[in-house]
Amino acid sequence: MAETETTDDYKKYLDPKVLSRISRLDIKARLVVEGYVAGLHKSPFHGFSVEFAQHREYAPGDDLKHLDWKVFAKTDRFYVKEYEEETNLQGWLLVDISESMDYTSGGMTKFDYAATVAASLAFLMVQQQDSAGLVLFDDDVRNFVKPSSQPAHLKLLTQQLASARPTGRSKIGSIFNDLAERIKHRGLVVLISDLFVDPAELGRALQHFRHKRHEVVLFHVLDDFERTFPFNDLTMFKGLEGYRDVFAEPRTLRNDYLGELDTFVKDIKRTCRQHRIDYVPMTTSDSLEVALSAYLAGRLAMRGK
Amino acid sequence: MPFLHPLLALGALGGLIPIIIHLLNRRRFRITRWAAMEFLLASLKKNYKRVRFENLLLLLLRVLLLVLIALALARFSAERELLGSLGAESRHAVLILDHSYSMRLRDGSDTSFDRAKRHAEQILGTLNKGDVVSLLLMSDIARPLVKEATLDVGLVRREVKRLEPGWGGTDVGRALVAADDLLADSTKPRKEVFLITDMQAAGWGRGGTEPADELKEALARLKKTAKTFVVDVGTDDGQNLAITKLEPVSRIIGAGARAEFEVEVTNFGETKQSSVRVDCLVDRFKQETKEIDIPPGGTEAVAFAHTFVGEGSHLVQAQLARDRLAADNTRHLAIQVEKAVRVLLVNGETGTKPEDNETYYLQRALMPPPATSGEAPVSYIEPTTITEFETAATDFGRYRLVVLANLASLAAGNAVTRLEDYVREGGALVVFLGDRIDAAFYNDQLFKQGRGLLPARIGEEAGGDGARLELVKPVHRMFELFTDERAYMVTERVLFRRHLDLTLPESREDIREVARFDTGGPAIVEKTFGRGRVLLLASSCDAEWTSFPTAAAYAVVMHEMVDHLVSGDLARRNVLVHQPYRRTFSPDELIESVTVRPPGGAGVEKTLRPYPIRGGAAAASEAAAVTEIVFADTDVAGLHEIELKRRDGDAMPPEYFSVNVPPDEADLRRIDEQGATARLKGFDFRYARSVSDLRLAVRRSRTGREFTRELLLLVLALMCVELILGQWFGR
Repeated sequence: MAETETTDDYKKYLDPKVLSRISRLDIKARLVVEGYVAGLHKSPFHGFSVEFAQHREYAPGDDLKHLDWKVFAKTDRFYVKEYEEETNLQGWLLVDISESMDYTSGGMTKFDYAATVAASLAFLMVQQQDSAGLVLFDDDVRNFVKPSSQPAHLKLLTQQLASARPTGRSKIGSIFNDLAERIKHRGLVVLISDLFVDPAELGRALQHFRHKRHEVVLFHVLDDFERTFPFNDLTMFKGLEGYRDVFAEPRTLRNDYLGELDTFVKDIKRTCRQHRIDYVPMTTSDSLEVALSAYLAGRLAMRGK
Repeated sequence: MPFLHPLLALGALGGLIPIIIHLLNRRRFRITRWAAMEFLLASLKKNYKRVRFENLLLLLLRVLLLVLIALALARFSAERELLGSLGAESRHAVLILDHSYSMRLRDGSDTSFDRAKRHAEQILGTLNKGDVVSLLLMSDIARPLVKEATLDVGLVRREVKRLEPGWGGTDVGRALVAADDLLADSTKPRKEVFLITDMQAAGWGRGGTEPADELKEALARLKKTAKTFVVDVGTDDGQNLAITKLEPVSRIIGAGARAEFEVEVTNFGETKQSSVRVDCLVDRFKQETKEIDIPPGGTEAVAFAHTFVGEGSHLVQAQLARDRLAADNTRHLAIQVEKAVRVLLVNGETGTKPEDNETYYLQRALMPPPATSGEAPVSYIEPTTITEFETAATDFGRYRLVVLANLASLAAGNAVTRLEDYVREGGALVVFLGDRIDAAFYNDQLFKQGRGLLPARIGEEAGGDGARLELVKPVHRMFELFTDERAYMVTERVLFRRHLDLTLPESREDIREVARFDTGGPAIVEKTFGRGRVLLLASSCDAEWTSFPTAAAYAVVMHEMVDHLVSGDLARRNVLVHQPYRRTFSPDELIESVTVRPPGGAGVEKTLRPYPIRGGAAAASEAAAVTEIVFADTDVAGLHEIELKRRDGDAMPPEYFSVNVPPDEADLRRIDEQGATARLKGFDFRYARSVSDLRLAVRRSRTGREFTRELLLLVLALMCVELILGQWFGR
């Protein structure tokens, strides 16, 4: 029985509806990423592959089969043809499992939503021969799964997501610095979080990834209530992540709350723009397949340019 | 309290409602986990003070709103003088309760008096600590029940509770004068008079006449210093039947003779009353019943007769069937049946023949000799004739009437003083003039410038061709039988050949002209002296100066005269409520004490000791003095019994006297507020018909301006402000 549950458990973030919608959209790194496997993605390492990239002067040791004889005939110099290599993508899914992700106003918690996004993306990556890795973190890295493109890997990832319990506090700075160092290959870093952290710290962390030339995508998951603050009655707000409880009349605070939130979101957007990071706002009440497919479609369009 | 409806002012507690709602709301809140706490905290930090202030402001506004609404409904009003309201302003309240018998009028299960008592309770309820109150009973007299203003409202309340309705008439003016007296010495800054009455018109004096000076001053003072409230507890149905008169036709009721009585029944209502049964009772046994029809506003007379066998005190009553006002359905008459009425004739001129005596005709007229011996006497008057000289040794008190006929003077044995005492105590005196009188003595000793017995100064002899009588209207009782077509018997048929001029004094209050000569000048003059009467005739007693003694009417007129003059005894035995009953005792009656028993156990029996009024000082011992009792507590209508106790222990038969209700009070017609103002000019009062009216009037007078309108406007304005602020803050 328990076995069955576990078996089913890891699948819970693989929503067939979501998957069917997004599987038709390949996730392709918009920027050049390093990859081991020639795949859909352009490799930054110009190798000897299918698609011509440029000529370079022959250097001793180069394979002679790559010499471009036509150029030699015209210029009497040795040039080697270089080809762009399509590499497979190494995607890192960074999922926030701090306590604040456990909030829901009804329906999915933010964590569930985030996990579904992560699982879907992992499925997509694995499906197109890319490798997907997973990092679950709160104030420390709780789970670190190295990327792999094996189909069986997907099961591992979803199991990890399913067994995670959002409890701790979120702290990004040191963890992300560590992660940025630990992830050797350039790749795609997908951060899925409600981002209830210090924006400046977040900015520095994201900058670090960018510095390492990772492509970073930020899925900002918020609950609908967090975005609209629709409370009217007197309410006792039970603080998560160690915040004290607050007894307040929400009606009178709504404007300022929304203002604060707006400022915060704008801050993050600005940071993302600075560092050329994709910022994807998500609300748990939004249909996940729509949100995700919209993003991916948009991404494809960008790549096409 | 500055509220006209103090109970509604409790509604101000409604001001607590918003606070309670607020507190309840604070207990009723939802709990939710919250992740985006940072933003919440930030906005809270920014807004905390503002929100708190706004909430407080709204709460205060709502509390204020409800309090103001309650104040407006309770009709808040402020004292006229603000300072007055700050200090404790205590009152002196005078409660006047209508204690007349019209308050006995039954309306359903209760009487006007019951309602009056309830109103009195209500009024006492409006008094505050420190207020003092006096209680006054208003009838034809004003009797203070709680005379000294008392702080003890409970005492007054008990007194009011104990009160039974009275039997007297109504005199509003007198009660107001008394109230003014009570308030005169009051040091309280506020004075209030509450007159609780049935608004019976009869009690408010006559319209169109100015009130007496005393009343006028009292009214002016009350208007200036006090607030007066008239509380109307009467009912509007004026229908009432009453016996207004019960009198013997002849004042002298002889034992064994047939006595006639006249009963008058008045219908004070506006509808004809048919087959009204009138019962006549003698010594409490029903003798006769008669039925009469009485037109609205009319009076019908019924006569009945009875023969009393023995002498002594007897009772006669006339009764109607019970109606809504029972007090006036019975009238009582206490009579003394006499064997003889003794009359003293003092003969001033004796002659050799009987008819030469001055008193010859009079004596025969009063006591006609029986036609045949052995026949029953035709008159109960027993004349005794004496001469001037015998007066010195005569006790006038043994006679009901003394006649001085052409007496030269009354020099012997301080006869003038004794005669004055005799008349003053209820005796009767008739003075005939003539050729023998000493005018100077009469004027000095008997007229005394109007202070003496004689009603007029005696002047020169007049005569000429003779004079005839002219009766002065209204016709005096002694000539009552000779009015209209029979008047000629005393006017044309009687000639006064000679008479003496009489000059009436300036002050004529107690003097009545009975008849004048057609040549001018008074012929017969009557004076009330003390409790007795004096009749002066300007001509002679015998036929020397006038043809009167030989006239056919003479005997009748003389009998009527005696009947009239001795009626004082009947009047003494039959008094109206609040009139004192007096009884004098001669020394030989040896009365030690007198016990008066009010009728039907109403009231307490009272034992009085007679006190000497004459002769006590002159006589060696008290035993020789003429004594008297005065029973003034005639508050209850009905027959009173008096038991006499002699010093020697001999038994005395009981005597009776009756106390009757004043007939005017039976007229239940009412007046309204305007009518009352018209009748009592200068009387300033507030009129209240019900308890609530009264409370309102009292509160209105005790407090100043009302602020209801302003308060409601303020409430409206605050409501708008509250609405706008609520919207503004809740944005």
